[in-house]
Amino acid sequence: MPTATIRERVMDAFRKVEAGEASPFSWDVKTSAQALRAELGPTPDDEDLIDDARAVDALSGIVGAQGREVEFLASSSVLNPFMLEKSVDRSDVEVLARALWQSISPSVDILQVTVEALVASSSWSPGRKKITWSKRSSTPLSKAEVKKADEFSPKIDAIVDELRATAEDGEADYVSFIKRGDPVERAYLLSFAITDGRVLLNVDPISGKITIKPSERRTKTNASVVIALEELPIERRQGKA
Amino acid sequence: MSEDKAKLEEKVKRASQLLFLRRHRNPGVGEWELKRVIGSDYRAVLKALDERLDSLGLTVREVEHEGKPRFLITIKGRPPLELEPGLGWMRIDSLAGLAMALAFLTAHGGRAPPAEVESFLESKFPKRRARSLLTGFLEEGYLELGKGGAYEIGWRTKAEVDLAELARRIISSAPRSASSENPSQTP
Repeated sequence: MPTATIRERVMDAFRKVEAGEASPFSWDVKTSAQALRAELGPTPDDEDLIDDARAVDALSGIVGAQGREVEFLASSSVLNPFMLEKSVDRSDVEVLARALWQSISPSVDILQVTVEALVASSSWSPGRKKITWSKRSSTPLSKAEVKKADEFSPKIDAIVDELRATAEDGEADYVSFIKRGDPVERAYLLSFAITDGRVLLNVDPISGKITIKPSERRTKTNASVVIALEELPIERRQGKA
Repeated sequence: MSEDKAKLEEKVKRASQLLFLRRHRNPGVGEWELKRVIGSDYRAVLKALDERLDSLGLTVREVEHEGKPRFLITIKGRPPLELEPGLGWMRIDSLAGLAMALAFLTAHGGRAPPAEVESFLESKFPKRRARSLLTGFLEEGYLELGKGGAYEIGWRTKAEVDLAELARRIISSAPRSASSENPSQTP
C-alpha cells in the first residue's frame, strides 16, 4: 500500500479541520512547511509545482482556522470547555432552557399576512376548490363547540375532572377515553391538558397502546398523538359529526 | 419642522416598518434593501430609530450574514424572567436543544461535525427530535453549515445570544455531581 505524501496528508488534515473533525491546533504547521519544501526538491516540474501550491494553500487554511478558533475562544471567554460540556450533561432540559433564556436577547418582529397570502390561501384547498371565508372561520372550532376563550378553559377543566373520576388504577386508555364523546373535540381539549402538564401521556413502545393519567403536578410536555383514521367512528370519518 | 427633519422622520418610519415586519423566514433586513428603500444615509436613520427604540427596551443590531451586514431589532438586555419561555416564542425543549448545540460548539472552538452535535443532543432528546431541532436551528440561522460541512455558530446566534453568559449560566446552574456532593460515599 503506497504511503501518503506530505502534500496529501496536509490536504487531508485541512479537510478534517474544515469538517470540524480535527482541531487546527492538532497539526504541526511549521514542521509541515519544512517537509513540503523538502518534498518539492531542487528541480520540480509543473505538476509538482501545482501539487505543492495546493498543499501550501491547505496549510494556510489550517493557519486561518487556528486564527478563527483563537478569536472565537477569546470572544466567548470560555475558560473550561470540558467543564461546560460536563455541565450540560448533568443539567436537565428545563435548566438548560432557562440558561439560554437568561442569555438571549430575542429578535422582535411582527408577523403579518399580506393581501397576496390571503388571496392565495382563500383559493386553496386539498381538492383545489375555493373555500369560502365563512367555512374557514367555522371549522374546526364550531364543530368542537369552542367559540370563546372563557368557554375554553372550563371545557379543559371538565375533561381533566372526567379523567380523574373515571380513570381505573389512575390511568385510562386514550382511544377509548376520547371515543366517549366527539373524539375530535375531546382529543383537541386533551392536547391542551397534556401540553399544560395536567394530563400525562404514555405510549407503550412495544404494544403502541396509548394511556393517559391525570397529573397532580403540572409538568409541561410536548407530546403529540397520531390517531389512526380507523379508530374514529365512521360518521366522523365521513364528516357527519 | 425643517424639511431635513421631516425627511428623517419619514425615513425612520420606513426603516421601522422594514425591520419590524417580517417578510421572509428569518427576521431582519439586508444592507442592500435598506440602501434601496432608505438611501445611502441608512446608518444615520438606523441610529435615529435606535434612539427611539431605546425607551421601549429594544435596539437595532447589526450582524454579518453571508459576508454582508444584516440588521434586526432585538430586545435590549434580557427578556423578563416572568415570561414563560415555553409560551409563544420557542418551546422549552427547543430552547434546551439550542443551548446544548451552542454549548457543544462553544466547547469545540466554534465548529463541530453534524454527527457529533446530533449525538450530543441525543443524550437528552429522541433521535428524530434531535435531528428536527438541528434542522430548525439551521433554517432559523442559529446554526450554519461551514464550507467543510461542519456546524458553526450562526448569524442569528451572534445577534441574539451572549455565548459567554450562556456558558457561565450553564456551568453555574448545573447540579453538582453525586461524587462531589457526597465525597465520603463509595460509588
